[in-house]
Amino acid sequence: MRRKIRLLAALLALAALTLTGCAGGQEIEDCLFVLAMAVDPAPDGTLQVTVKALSGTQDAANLTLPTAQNSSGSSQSGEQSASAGIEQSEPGYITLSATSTSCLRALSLLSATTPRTVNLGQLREVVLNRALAETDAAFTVLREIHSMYGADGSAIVVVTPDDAGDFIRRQRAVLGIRLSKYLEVLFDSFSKNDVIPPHAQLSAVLAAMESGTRDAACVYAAGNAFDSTLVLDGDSDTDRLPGHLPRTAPAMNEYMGSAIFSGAHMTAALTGDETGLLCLITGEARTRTTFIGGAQYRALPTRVTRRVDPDTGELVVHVRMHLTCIAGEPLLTAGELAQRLEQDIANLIRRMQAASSDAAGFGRIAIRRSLTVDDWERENWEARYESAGVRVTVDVDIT
Amino acid sequence: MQNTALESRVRAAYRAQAAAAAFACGAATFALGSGLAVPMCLNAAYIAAVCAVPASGLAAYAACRLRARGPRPLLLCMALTAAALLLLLACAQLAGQLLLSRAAALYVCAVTLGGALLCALCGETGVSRLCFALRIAAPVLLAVLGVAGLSGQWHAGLFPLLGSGLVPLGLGACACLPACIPAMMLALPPAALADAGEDALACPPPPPAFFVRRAVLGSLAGALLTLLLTLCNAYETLRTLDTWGSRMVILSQADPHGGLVQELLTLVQLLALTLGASAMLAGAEQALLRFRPSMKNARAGLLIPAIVCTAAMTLSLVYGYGPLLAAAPATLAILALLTMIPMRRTRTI
Amino acid sequence: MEGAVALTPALCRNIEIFRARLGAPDNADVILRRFRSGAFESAVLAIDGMTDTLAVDEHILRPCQDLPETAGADVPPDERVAFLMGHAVSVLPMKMKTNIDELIADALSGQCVLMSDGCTSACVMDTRGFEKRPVMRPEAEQVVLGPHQSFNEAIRTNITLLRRIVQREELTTEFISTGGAMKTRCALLYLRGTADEAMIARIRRRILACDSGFALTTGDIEQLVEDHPLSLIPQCVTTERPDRAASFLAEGQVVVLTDGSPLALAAPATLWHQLHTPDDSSMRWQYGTFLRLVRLLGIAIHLLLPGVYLAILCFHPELLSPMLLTSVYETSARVPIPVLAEALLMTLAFDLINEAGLRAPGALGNALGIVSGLILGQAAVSADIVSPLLLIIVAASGLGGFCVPSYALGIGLKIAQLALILAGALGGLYALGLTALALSCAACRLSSAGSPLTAPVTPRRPHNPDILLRLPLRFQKARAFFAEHT
Repeated sequence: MRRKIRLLAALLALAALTLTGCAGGQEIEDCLFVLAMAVDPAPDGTLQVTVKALSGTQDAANLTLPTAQNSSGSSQSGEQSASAGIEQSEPGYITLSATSTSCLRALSLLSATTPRTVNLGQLREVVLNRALAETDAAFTVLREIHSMYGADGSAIVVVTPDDAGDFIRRQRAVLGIRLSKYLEVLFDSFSKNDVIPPHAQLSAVLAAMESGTRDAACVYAAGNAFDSTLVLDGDSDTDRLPGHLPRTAPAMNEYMGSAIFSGAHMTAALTGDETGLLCLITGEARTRTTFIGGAQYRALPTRVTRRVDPDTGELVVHVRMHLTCIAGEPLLTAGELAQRLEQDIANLIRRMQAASSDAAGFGRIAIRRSLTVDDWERENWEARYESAGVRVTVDVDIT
Repeated sequence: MQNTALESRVRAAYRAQAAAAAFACGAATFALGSGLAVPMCLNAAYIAAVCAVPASGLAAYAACRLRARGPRPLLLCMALTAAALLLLLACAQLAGQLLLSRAAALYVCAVTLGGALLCALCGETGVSRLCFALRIAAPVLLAVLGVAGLSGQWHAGLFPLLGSGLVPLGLGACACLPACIPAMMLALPPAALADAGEDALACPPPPPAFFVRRAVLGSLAGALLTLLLTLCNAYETLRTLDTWGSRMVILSQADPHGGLVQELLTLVQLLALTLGASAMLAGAEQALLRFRPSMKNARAGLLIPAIVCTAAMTLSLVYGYGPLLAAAPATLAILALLTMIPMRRTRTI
Repeated sequence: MEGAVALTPALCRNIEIFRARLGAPDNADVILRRFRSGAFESAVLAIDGMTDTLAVDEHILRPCQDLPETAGADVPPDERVAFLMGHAVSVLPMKMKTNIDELIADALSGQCVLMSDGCTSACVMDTRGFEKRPVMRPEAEQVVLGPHQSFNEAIRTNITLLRRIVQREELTTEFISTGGAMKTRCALLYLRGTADEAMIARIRRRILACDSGFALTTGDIEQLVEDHPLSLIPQCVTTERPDRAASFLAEGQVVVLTDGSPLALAAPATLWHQLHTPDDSSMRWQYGTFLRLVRLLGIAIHLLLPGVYLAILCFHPELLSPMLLTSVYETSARVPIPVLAEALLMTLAFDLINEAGLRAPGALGNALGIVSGLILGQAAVSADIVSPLLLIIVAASGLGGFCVPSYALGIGLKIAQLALILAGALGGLYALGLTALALSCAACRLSSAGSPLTAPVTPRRPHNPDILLRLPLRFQKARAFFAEHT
């Protein structure tokens, strides 16, 4: 009898653990794995969320479903409307969108209508429209994506002046067959060449947005307008904003540049060259190729120090770097090159000060003088930063 | 040959018990230092973890003296059970946040408590031997995974050094007391000696320094692990929050979506905490048996899960879960019945 | 007659007792031969087919019958059998016994009983001559290097095989008959002065305590001797190799041989004994270490791989690389059953194929493996009943299971694998880890004849560097592990 009681007890325990359905496990085919997400502001203060996800099939048949409207026939403030369309225009991927008052509700709507549970664990890219990024709503959107839906914190945050949904729609895996792998390789390559800012990952951007010691910088990208007639002055062809680079390429989107933030909103965009300098002064630069004074150099920074002068409050940067001429005729001496670089770096810092953005992280150095949080807050760093002087020294060795 | 064998058994039993105490101290220190056990602002939590290291050593010394005089077993049982429960609930909270984010909180609680109870069912002998086997492997694995997960700017988040000020730091130092409780399991002789017979029990135990050293090392490992995990994702001073105690928090804690390294690190960390809690539960059962020797093993094992089950059911009332989900804590009561299965029955002839 | 326990002085009476007990003359196997041996009469009792009748004729009957008629006339009646043993019979070994039950048991085991008129004791002589299997190659413990002999069902042959290797005066053989109505003959072998006396007594006690009514095999003896009958992990090690059994004797273990069973049982044992093979020590240390690591990896894959796969798929898909996720996603979308059911189905199918291959006769067994594995597996994937990746996982896990040297441990690990699969499917990596932790605690708790199963790793004991890695022989200086540390 006792043995029967034990057996019954064991079965009951197993049943209680397995049949209550609260384990949270999911079959993989019940998930919608999102690789790229785009958020645009929509009329009446709503947000349009577009996602590119795995379709689970390699069939590339075009499929467009009609728009489903709500009962009033138009979207009103506070009402949700269903997807504007589902497209499956490349093998293996499907693009869906939904509009709602918040990112969270839009993703819930996608889950309900697909019907699959949205899984952001494989997210590689979050694209924000510039108009949205320039408001504090950007922080709320990113926070929702990361915290509520458990997005992969290593997803790269991108700001674009174009329609963000169109941005991810025209993304193709132009090399290889998997978009996710293509995006990984793309960002890795750009990071190595210092044309995108360091710490542009979702978790790092969020941390910086909430931080009192530094500001976020994420990737700035745009579609390539081949027929653009806008020509900017400057030696370097990469000293332009994305969308205006004089080139054709199989990839429609260009990624070289940074969007810098002041707190929770974007305040300015940096060109590819400026992004490289930003990487340099944050100490994240690697060996990169740069054009200065008509020659092409391979630049290797050997030492970068930043400090905030305790007496004058100046932002002091000292860079020691090694330049190797790899093409062209070097017309400038080491001293002239150093002077050029000092000027460029100082201009960049002043530009960031004007945009109230401490993307270089000088606040992290200034805080070391404060023993407690209250001491730091009394310093009023934000005001001090904007009015601080800039002193840059560069030592260059050329071979 | 008999004397050699007996001495060998006694030495091994005490070593295993000391390893279990080290695991438990390390687990309690880590839970304290990461703010899981007692929520407090981060620098205060660090101070608590640092203070817990010498405090564990003192507690181990006191436990050795208590062993000679005879401990108060019921009090010891209650203290160890409470400490184990606190640790397990912290484990469940962390597991629910990081590993099983879609599961119901009560389910995670039930899985955690069930796992710890299954380990504790093997008795103090089984748990302490496993702790002894993992005494080097576990900290090394945690260190390797932690170092592999260090962020590039790990040092930047250490400032300001005093955090929210001296008052929270002082309060944090006082909060190190819960981390001393695990060392109290050394007040009882190891269960393996009771199986070996009266001769083994009569053998003198190692000197107190033997146990103090191990408790301190375990606690130190817990404190270092706290620091290592924090450096994996540097914390930030927050712009917006001005509530006392919440100025400095770990943002994006141990991000499981950071990849395999982070996930493994979280998993190994949780298993180490669970093992520490199981060691405490097994010690609590030993204390209860000493309090009431006429109580058989099965019934002694019944009381402790019953206490734990009551706590879990209280949680279910607090969170207002529906009756179906409220059935999940009942599994803990059923698991207690499972202790009647003669897993520990050994041949007596 | 039924109440008689000891032999009577009257030979006729004794013969009547034996006839009644053994059912002669209806029981045609019973040989009960009365003859004249010198000045008195004697009789032999034997079982046809069990006894070497030629030896009985040559060395017992003829010499006794050839004695002169006055031989033994002045010998006291109670010493007549001893007289015959001293002057006529040329068989050894021999024992004098008086108990009728013992004499009948000895006769049934193939020995010959010699009785004389007027004598209350009889002589039991070992004249066993039944058919037995020759010494052959081991079937389950094949090695590349090392000897290729295995035990067979004859206990005497097995003891001989051991004695050829362990030529030491301390080697002691104790015969025990255990069981109820149907006795089974066991032999306890140990090195006197090396094996722990208390441990020997414990094992002896446990074997003698059995009152089973059927013939016991080594497996049955193992279940009598082990400390934890409900555990998944066996606490004794069985072997069919004499060289391995000899190494157990040198370590201070007790080896139990059972008449009628080709396996030797050694106790106490550790978990590591069950993971080692004779090839590890026969080869150079580098090869032995490498193979051992491969084996351990196989065992880890067997235990953990299916559970980890299910856990990642159901709870942690973010751990999969995007390329792998896409493949898994596309194939899983076509499979109609949940992934847990799929995994259990495939595991069951693998075990079925394994079992069927063992039971199917001869050539059919080989063909069965090929048909089931290749054709059915391929067909299942093509029909989208299972996903190809899960098939690979289950196959790899199954191969890992074959790396377990001990068959009994392999079955135990298969059951543990099922528990881990369920844990992974129900609670992800967390529940899988907790289950593994609980199983490890349970393993650490076990003991084998009083000695911890997980020694010398935990509890730590001085030992040779031969647990996970097989270091060179010159580092292996510790001897008789169980003698010192029981």
